[in-house]
Amino acid sequence: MSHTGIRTAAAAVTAVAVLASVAGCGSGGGSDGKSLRYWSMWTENEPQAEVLKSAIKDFTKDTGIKVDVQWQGRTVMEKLAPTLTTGKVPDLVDQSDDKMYPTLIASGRAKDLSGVFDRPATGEKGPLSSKLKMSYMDYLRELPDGGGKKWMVPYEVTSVNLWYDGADKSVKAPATWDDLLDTCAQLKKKDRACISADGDQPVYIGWWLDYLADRIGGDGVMKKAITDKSGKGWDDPAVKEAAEKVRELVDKGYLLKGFDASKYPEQQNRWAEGKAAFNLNGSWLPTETAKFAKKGFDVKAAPFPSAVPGKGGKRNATDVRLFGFAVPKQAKNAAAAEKFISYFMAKKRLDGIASKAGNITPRPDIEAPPVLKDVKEQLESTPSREQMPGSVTDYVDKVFYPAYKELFFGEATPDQFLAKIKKLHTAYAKARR
Amino acid sequence: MAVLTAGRREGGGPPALSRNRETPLAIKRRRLFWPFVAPSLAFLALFYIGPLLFGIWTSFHRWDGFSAMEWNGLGSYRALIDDPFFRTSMLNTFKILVFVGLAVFVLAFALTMVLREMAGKKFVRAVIFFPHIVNAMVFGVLAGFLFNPGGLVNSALSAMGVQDPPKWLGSDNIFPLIMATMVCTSTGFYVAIIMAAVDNIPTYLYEDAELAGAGAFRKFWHITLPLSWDVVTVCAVLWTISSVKVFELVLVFGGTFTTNGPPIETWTSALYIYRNAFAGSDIPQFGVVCAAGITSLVLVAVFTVVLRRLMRRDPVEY
Amino acid sequence: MTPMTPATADPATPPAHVPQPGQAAPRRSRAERARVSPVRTVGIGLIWLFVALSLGLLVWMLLTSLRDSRAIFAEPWSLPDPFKLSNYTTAFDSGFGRAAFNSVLVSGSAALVSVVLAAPAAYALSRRLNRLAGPLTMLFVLGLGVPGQVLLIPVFFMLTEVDLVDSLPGLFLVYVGIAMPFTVFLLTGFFRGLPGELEEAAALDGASPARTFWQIVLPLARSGLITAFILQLINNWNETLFALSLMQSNDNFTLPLVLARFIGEQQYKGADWGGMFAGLCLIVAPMLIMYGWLSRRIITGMTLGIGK
Repeated sequence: MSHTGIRTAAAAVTAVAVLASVAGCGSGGGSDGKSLRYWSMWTENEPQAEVLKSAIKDFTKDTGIKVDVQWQGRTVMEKLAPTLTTGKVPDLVDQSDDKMYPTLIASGRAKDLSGVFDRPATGEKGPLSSKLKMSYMDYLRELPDGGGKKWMVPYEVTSVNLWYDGADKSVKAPATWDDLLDTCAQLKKKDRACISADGDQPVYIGWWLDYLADRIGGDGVMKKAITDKSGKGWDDPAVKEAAEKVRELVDKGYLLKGFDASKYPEQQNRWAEGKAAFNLNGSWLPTETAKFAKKGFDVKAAPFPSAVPGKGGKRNATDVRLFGFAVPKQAKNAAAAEKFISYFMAKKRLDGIASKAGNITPRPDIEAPPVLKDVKEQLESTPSREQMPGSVTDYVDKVFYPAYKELFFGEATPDQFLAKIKKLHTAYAKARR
Repeated sequence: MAVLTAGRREGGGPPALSRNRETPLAIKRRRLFWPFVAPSLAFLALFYIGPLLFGIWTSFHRWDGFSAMEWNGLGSYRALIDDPFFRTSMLNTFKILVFVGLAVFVLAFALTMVLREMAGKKFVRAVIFFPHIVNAMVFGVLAGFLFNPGGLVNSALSAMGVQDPPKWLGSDNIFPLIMATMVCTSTGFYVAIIMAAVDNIPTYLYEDAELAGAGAFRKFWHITLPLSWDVVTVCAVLWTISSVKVFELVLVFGGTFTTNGPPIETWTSALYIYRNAFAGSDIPQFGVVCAAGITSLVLVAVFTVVLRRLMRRDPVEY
Repeated sequence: MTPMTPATADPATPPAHVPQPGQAAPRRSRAERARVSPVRTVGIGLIWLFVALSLGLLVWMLLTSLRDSRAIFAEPWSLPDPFKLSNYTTAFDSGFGRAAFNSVLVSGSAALVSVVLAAPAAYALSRRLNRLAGPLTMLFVLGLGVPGQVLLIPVFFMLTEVDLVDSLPGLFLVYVGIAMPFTVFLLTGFFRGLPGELEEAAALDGASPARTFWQIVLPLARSGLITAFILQLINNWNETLFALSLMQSNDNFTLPLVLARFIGEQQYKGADWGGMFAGLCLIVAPMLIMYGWLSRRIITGMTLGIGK
């Protein structure tokens, strides 16, 4: 009997096995301290990526350490999550602190980076912590095993502000909530929209409630509402008042049409085109919308207006969101990763984040890009608070947004909103027990 | 498909070897069986049977993929029942299965009837079939461009004088819009299947019916439908399977791909599993995720069985 | 119903109808046609409208991919002026080039290997060479009903064990495995439709069964094998769920993953619809070209094997 058939089958299986074993050898980096794997939240053509790329090039030249960088984009934590269970983790990742928290921090899988703060940045004198405005990090939550807050080295500071066109004569920065309502009413008379908002971005529209609640009730109202397991935090009268104010904006028709059916970044682009006066957004807004800005647009940022006139202090804090590096505990080349962080945090390299990528850095000695001068000043002169405090991605998806969007879209009254969010909050807390 | 017809096929078909006239040649051929079947069977075991068993096992445990598994009994399934978003995803999957399914079938039959004698029917079939082989992400992005507040549809509507267009991508409309997109892109595939079946129906039946004065509907009801019933049953099962798999379209519908993922009211079974397993939210609960998978499999099984029961007819001979 | 015919058979060929002697050939008079027409006319109109819209959308997508983003929104209906290839450069810079290579490599090799593995199995099952042939066929068929998401987590951890997550060979193995039920099912039906006489003749000439399979059956089955290959190629080309969950390094991305990332990137870079359409075209174009060339085979392969 000929064995051709059997041989064919066997050959196929062997081919598969060979391919598989080739893969086994090809993957997985070494741990000789001569290389490191970095997964970035940026995609390859973004300005931040350009800055990081040139730093990486110099780093390899100066230290001989090769950096295998993967430009994962914003969903980097979704890529990271499964590897934490497999051990094939990258040595260095970056994202905003709130995006890193659930994946990396809640379960205590990030390394304490105190060492990086204690050492000087490459080529500088004095510990890195003396060069940064460390109070930005106050709001960060601690590692569960008592590892402190220094699980992240921030390289970009963002803040949410009310953005407007300084060249537009009929728009001026509102100092109080009533000023804002006045401006909106004036614009409405001229048949112009006051505010644009991408309703499909839970956090973007959430900032309105978030800021208002803390402006009304004082810092910590929202934090308690979101993090208190019992859900009682949502009973705070300040939350209700904030919800009423949000609803007022909607009811009076101050929002640019389409906000409740938008696909980000549709509405912020309409703002840049001058279709609406204000957009509540992060300090990345100018870069994101530059392509769409109408001629002569003078981008200005105003602090979120105060809601209780005359009361200052922490009540009128500016919110902060940090973007930076973290190192997973299982990283095989943690030392090399830390070395890279120190290298990147030096003034002359970090400067690119401001000068080339158009953002604020945590180093006061680096000048902010012109559009963000006001914001930087404000950040450094007022107390800071966390935006949407304590909210992790899936709390926003599963509790906050489903309830809040009904309020924001004018479908639910403040009371209905509060009832729904409490219900979802309880279900969420229960599922996590 | 054999799920439905295997039973009937047992006796028929090409050369089956019967045991009592076993020749040396037949024995040689029989020896080929295992070497021939083993490789595929190994892959089936590796990528279907094994994973299924592992999935069922995991669904009865508490597991973060990291620490040791911990027995959890039916806990994961209870957690699913308590999870409003699991209910949403299953309901959405169910809606796709039933509503989109019905629309696709009604349309597919209507198209088949019209196409039956139309000039250029092969061309039309080729055009409407094409979406079936395109990654559904493409339609998700296109829908975003068409239905954005400032998109193509609204600009066309405002040119026609519609001042207050619907909020296409608003939370009330987005899922119906997803379903409508699915109807547009899926119908062609079923038209092609049903058309093949209808073409096998002898034309004289229609001619006789016409002579007897039957209208289009009666011809459909008394000839087309009964004579293509087998194929319709198969299509129903196929649709059940493919509707439970819906993923790409919803993932990027409207042209968004951000860390928040698609809006939760549009999640389907596959989205629920993907987001809960990999979306980087909190500590993953793979027990619950696997339980969700098993539940969707049960949905397919139950639906297939029910459909077969409901649609069972005596075969029509002609 | 008739036993399955080879997939190349034209499904649209109506069975021959022999007119009764003396009866006029069944050609309908104009009057009869007119009687059925009102609904049909509307139907035909609607169908052509839909076809025109679909083709229009496709052409418009191709044209728009050559235009500037701002212009797209300002005047969605205009023609590109001048033709702007920079959208494609943007797309290629974002990793579409490498991803296209990966997609071709993995889709093609997995489709090939799945057919190579499935063909002998389908043959053995269709010829009932063993008492277990029936139950085993059923087992493969049942696999058709398993949605991918059920297998996702287990497959992920299985590949983790052997260090094949985030590797193209790992994805290749998954695609081969996932393809088994459909390919075996399709080919079993196909082999059943092949007459057994030639095999018996070959056996009488003294050819061994394995050689018979190799030299007689496979060449006869060529068109079925090619169909199975193409259908798997299409499936693999479009597969997103597993690739999205298993692949992590940019160098291992396939086209759907790059497209997803690109969609995200265009959003925070300010909705570069031009670039996005270029990306869409890159993923659709190969399918379109293949379809233009092989549409009959694809349609019959996908429908006939299933309808029977």
